Amino acid sequence: MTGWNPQLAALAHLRKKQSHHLNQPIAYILVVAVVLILSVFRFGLQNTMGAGVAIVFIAVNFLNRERFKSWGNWSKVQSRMSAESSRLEERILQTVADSVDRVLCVKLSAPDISLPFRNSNLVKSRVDYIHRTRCLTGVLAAVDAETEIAFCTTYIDAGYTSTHKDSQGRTQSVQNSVFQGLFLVADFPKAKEGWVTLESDNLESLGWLASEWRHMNDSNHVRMENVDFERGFHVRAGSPIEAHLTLTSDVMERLDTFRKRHPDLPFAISLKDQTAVMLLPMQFNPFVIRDNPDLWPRELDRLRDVSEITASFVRAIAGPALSITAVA
Amino acid sequence: MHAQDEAILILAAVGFVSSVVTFFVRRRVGKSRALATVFSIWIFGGILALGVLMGFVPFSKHSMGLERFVVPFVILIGTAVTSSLAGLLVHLIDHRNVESAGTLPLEAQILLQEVEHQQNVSSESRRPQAPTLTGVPAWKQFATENARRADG
Repeated sequence: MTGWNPQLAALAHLRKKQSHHLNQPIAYILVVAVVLILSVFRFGLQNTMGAGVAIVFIAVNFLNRERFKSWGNWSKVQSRMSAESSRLEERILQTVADSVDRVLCVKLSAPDISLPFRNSNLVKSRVDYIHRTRCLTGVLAAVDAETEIAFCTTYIDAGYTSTHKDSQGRTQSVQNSVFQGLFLVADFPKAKEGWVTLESDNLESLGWLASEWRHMNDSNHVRMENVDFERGFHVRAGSPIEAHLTLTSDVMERLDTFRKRHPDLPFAISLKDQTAVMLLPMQFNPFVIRDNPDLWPRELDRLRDVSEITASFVRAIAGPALSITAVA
Repeated sequence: MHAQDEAILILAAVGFVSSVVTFFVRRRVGKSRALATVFSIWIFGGILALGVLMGFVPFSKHSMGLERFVVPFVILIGTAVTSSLAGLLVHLIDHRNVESAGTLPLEAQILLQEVEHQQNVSSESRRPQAPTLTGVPAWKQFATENARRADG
């Protein structure tokens, strides 16, 4: 935490200031309203309590008189502060990403990824909306192919909308989430024809019989010659030839290394149209730093994990790549 | 209505109000402030209930037929007053912490100034969006534009 401590302190400062600006006028209006009501209505408690409240109210106002001046440009202060806060957040996230790999770049916006998502064959259900927020992005230079591997990781919430009528006959539309988690997309020049999907969960934990049963019931299942790879992934493809053309021995080896490095991740990969897509279910958006500073260490750790996953996935896809840190 | 009934009514109302307040306030203002508000509500409700039990707050002696409205009315007013005052006091203390320069390390202060400066610069000269290259997916174009130092 030493690297970004001053940045976190500055962010905490901004967030505190922001909530302060937001809440103060509301609290003030409430107090004024209540004092007015108390003075209008006369009942048993009014004589003692009303006077006490009025004294405290006047005293608080007197102590706080400096702050009233800034309320005039309240919305302006708010928007400036939130812009500063998100800029700082970007810097913190970038520092975390940098500590993993210099090639990663954090952006506060995310590009349109609906095309690779729909093309990936990984989500069978209808998808009407894809919500996305921030992303990790960049380009890695591969040594052997003399090409550049562009990549992008973002957190998405994808699903379909359905309409139904409520008890009063009004039509309401509901968003049904199908997938929530990380979406990684990267260039993969080897996948020229057909499609190949890999699922990391090969039902190994349920035993040999369950795994075999699944293979038997899947007409698109393809067996690969690499035993380790076969044990770790459930491979599906349009035809076995496509699978063998796309999944060359070095690709299989690198993907298997990636799986072994992250043994607990339930991910799915699609290799199609010269693009590699990985879906990784995740409950929380790792790109957002929330308002509570107690959660920050955990959130930054989570982002570091995501950065590591992204970096190792991109390097598994790209093959031997230029060492960016060595070059820089 | 007996004093005991009124006290129970007050405590039930306080419990309800505090849970509602916690629910709405917690997400926006954070745990510590929400707790301060809820504590102030409970203290007020507790004092009121005790007053009713000991006969210091003679609701039942009112003869205007407003007995039914007095208890909820007092609870609402009192809740609003105490929570707002508590909130305001918490803000005052908070504000003092925020404003005093000593709480922020020097590096953080420099960083804040830098970020503020960047904000001003970027809002003044906003670049126009680059035209979309034909045939290049949006994500790829985005990644290429934001590539940092992938050149070798």
